[in-house]
Order: sequence, then structure tokens, then C-alpha cells
Amino acid sequence: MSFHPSRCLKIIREQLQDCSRAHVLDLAKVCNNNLQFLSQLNCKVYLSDIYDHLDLINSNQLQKLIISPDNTKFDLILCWDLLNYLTVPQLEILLQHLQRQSNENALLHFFIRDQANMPALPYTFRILENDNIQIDNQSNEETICPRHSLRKLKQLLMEFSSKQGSLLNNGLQEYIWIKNMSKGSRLDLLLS
Amino acid sequence: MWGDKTAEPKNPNPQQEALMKPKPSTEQPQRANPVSTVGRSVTIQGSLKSEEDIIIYGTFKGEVELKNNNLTIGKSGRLEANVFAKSIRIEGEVVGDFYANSVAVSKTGAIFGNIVSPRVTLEDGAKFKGSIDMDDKSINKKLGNGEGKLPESKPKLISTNNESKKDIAHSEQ
Repeated sequence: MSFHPSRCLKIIREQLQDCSRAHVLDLAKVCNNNLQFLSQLNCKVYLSDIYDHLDLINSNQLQKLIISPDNTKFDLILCWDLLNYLTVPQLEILLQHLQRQSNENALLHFFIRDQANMPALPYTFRILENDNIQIDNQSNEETICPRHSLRKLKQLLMEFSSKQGSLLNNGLQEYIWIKNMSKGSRLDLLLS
Repeated sequence: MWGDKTAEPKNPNPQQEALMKPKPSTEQPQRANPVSTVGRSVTIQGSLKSEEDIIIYGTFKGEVELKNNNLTIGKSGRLEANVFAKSIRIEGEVVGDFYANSVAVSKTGAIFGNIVSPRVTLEDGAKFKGSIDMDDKSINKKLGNGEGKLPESKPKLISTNNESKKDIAHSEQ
């Protein structure tokens, strides 16, 4: 268990406070802390823990994994540690789907690993007070890390740009990317 | 079957035992009303309205309206329904839309559907695929202006196909 301040959470709060009714997709396991954080920001939260169903990430099955009634588009997508556990073909399918299912100015939050090995199961993340995150390791076993590059992610997410990144002291890199950020928006000013 | 406390299944699980007794708690309001239990071996299909609290250990399919009462779906309970209740506690597997003043999902709970409620509590380990809406406007729209007042028309069940049920069953393994 470790605790880390998250600069990306501040950006999320700033962005969602501007939204009258944000739609948030959380791709991690259920966490009550994270739900309460999002509910304070007047969000409608869609939960789809897809880690247990990675074999279903293909073009025909993805809509069963990520449910968006009435073709809802999201304002925030929380991937957490998930991307590190996807193969390149799975990554392509998922990110292209998320790109289609996101609104303009949508935020995409994720962690990237670049060590040779990583835990066999994704970390769990719990949002605490004052934009801190508690990170828990669920496994003592290790597996090979695919080490997805930011360049590869950028190729898959052409409509997104990286606006905040930071290296945590456990080696994780935390990022928040923004879709087609409009010039002059409050978030643009915040980040400039 | 209904309102017959002697028919309640003997349960070695102390958590479920505790649920069957009126007990003040922050999660569950004190039960002043009698409690009816749907036993493990019971399967019901249809519309359920009650002025009593209900605990489901068996299988229920249809619609549930408990205007001023609480619904518990026990660990062995299976429910496929739209539910309107004062409070809902989910320990088993459920498919449908859930409208209540408070909803609590235990670590053994598995939900495929949507929750509309101002107070939602999820225990770590719960399985959830769907949406949670805690916005006051959405809740008033669905539940009416007064607390516990139920809407005239009911929303459609979001998904009851076999694939959905397979997903929940699979994720439990």
C-alpha cells in the first residue's frame, strides 16, 4: 500500500465542476471512495470493470463490456492501470472505441508502466482527501510489462493530447489526456 | 411463504441471520414493520407490492414496489426486476433498474443494471456493470417530489438477455 498526491485529480475536479452533468466511465474495480468523489462532482458514473473479461475485447464484443445506453458519450474516462494489461491489438480496439465514445474536452486518465516486469494483477486505486491516491498491489506474482509507449498511444488517440503527466515514486507514470481541447477554455487557462 | 417467519431458511451465515432480525443500523433503517421472506427454494414471477420489508433468498423476476419499505436481496437471492423501494440492500445477483432513497451493495453483490439514488454505498469486491446516478434532479424525476413517492410509469428493464446473465455468472467465478 502506498500513498501519492495526484495532480491529475485536481485537473479532473476543475474540469468536471464546469460540466453541468458529466458522464464518467470507470474501467476499474468497484471502489466506494472513487464513487463518492465523483458523486460530489454531480457526475453520472458508469462502472465497467473489464479486467476480468479482457478476452472479450474485440470489435464485436466490446459494446457488451462497456455499456453506454442511448450511445452516451463520456466526459471523463478512468482507465487507471488497465492499459498496461492489454495487448497491442486489444489496446487499439479499446482506445479507438473510447475515442468514439467521448465528448469534446473529455479527459482520459491512465497510468503507464515502463519497467520490464509488473504485478500479475492491476493495482487498485482509491481516491483520498486532498487529491491523494492510495495504491494497493493485489498480487505478489509478476508478469512481463508490455511497456506501451506514449508515441503508440498518441497514434491510437489522434484526437487527444497529453496535458499532464507525472512520475510517481513507485515508478508509475500518471497521465491525463484531453480530447480536442478548445482554446481559451478554463482548463486551457489552468494548464497554461 | 409470505409473512411466515417460521418458513425462513436456516442459514449458517451470521450476516444473513442478522438481517432477518429487526436491528438498528446506519445502513438499514430500523424495521418497525414485519418482514416477509422469500426462501431459497422459492421462485416467483410477477409484480410484488408490499407494506412490509422483504428479504429475497430465492429467485424473483418481475417488478417490485415497496413504497415505504426496505428490500434485501440475500446472498443466495437472484432478482431480475425494476425495483422501487425506500432502501435496497444487495448481497446476491440482480439485473434491472433500482430506485431508492438509499442503496447498499455488499461485497458479494453482483449488479447488471442502473441505480438511481442519493445515497449509494459499494463494498470493495462487489461486481457492477451499469450506471449510478446520485443527482438530486434525476432522483426527484424518478421518485417524485416526496420521499418514497413512486412514479406513475416505470422504466424499461435495461437488459435481461442471456448474455447479460452470463456476464454476471462469469464474473462471480
